[in-house]
Amino acid sequence: MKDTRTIAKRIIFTLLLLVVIGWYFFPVYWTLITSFKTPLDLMSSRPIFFPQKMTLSSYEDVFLRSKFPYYLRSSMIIASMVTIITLILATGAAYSLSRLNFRGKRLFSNLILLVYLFPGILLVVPIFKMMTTIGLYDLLPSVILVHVTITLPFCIWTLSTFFDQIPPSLEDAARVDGASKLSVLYKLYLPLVRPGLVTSAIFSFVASWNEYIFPLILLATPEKKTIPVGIAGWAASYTIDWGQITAAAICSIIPVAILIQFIGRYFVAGLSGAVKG
Amino acid sequence: MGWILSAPSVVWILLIIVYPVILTLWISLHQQKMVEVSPPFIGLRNYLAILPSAEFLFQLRLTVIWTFLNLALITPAGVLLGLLLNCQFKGVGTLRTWILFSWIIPIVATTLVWQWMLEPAVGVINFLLYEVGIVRSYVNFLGDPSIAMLSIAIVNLWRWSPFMGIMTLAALQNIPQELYDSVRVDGANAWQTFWHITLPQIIPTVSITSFILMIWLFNMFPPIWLLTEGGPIESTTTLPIVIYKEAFRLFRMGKAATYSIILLIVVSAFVAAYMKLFAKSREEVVK
Repeated sequence: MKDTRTIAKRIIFTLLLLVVIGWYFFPVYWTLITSFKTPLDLMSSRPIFFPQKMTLSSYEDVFLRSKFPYYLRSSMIIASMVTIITLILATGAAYSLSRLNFRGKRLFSNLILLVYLFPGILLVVPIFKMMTTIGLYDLLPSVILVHVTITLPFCIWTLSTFFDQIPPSLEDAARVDGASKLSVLYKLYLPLVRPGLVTSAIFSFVASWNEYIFPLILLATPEKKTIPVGIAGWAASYTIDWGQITAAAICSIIPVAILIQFIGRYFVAGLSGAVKG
Repeated sequence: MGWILSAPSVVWILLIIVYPVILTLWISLHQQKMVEVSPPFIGLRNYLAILPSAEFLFQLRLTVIWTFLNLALITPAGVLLGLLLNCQFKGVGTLRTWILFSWIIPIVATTLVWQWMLEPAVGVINFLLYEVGIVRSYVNFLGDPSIAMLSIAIVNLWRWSPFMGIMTLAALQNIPQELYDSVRVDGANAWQTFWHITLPQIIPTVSITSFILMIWLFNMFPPIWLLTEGGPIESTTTLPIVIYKEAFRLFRMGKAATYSIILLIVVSAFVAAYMKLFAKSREEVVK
């Protein structure tokens, strides 16, 4: 009697789990197989769930016969620069928040929270005016400048939790040996917070890589567009090639899959820590 | 010393976030068309043109409906997902990390994937619904004004429920085991345990997360713009869409800035209301 009940429970649970996994991952599977389908299969009126023939022709279209390589170049430049600048700024800020006392510290951490919550769409008008005024409109640095403020709050929080975990006695010992505060930061702390730096770096790269609004309003030349802005334009054209679009979408997802594989764990912890703090 | 290390971040934030907010206020008082350096000052005329208009009230209503429709979908689904992820089964560790996938991929990838699946003529969702017999003819999910917003909200549910789920999971894992042990001794069943221990313990996290989500939903631009551009027949034109259209389609920067300030005030009002509500419920718990 009890056995049948536990078996029934287990079956219901497994079914529920399958539904949940299907809901979250079928769309990705569907995009993936669409990107590998032959043109003939793509045009079939009945959707083909398990294609017999696979081809890379959609990917060839993306890389050889579209502006995608330009988009890739812009996205790589912007995301790399954002990552480097964010790491430099966030390390200093996180160290001072975690280890030093200074006037306005509270105000600073409140400011970071505000920036984290502040919605980008409210800034499009003034940022556009600012960038046209100082002549950065349609240049990649304009997007880099803005993206750094998007990545800073999360990285400052993540890094300061890593700094918090280092026992202060370590620093005292180094100070007794006559090291200055800056060299303590440089030689003692940086190697110890390396996982935090890796997490912040990958987060910054992906956040900038994904962001849609600011490259949309700040870059006009087709060859300067980033991947999200560029491929979003394809779906708005008259002749939509879904093979090509899904292939480009898969390409845009790859860095994200890398992020999840390598720092997913830290990321989840940082995320819940950030909201609590 | 602390000041020197924080200063670059502070200056950066002041320049890219704080100064622009002030600049928005300034632009909203001027008749800024495109990029003129010194547009004519027109006082509150932008505000007086927008606030009493029926169009604005309609857009404001859509924004509020959009926000709370999404919250009503994402919050319960995310909490249930968190509860599911808190169970022990084979592969749960992998699922806990990969569940973030739909939340963390580029928003443009999300909308392209769903545009393809929701396609009115050859889309897989129409095919499945038709084959199972749920719909009698193919539905134009994003082209029908009566269901366009719901369709975008479903896409947004796919994107945002993992965020809520992971937050819930973190809260669930912080519940001390002793709490469960103590009620088990008292002979509580699973349902009573959930109602009296689990739920009260996760409510603070869930409400803070939905509060943050509310702020973002009010201002959410990409999913709506990418899926419908505010259409069909204006049925998904929320205030963020209006800001973008006024600025970059109609080139009325002054009006767009005014809409930005108004949206900021509306969101602040809801934030204040939420905080008051939250503070009250916390007091009651203390009592």
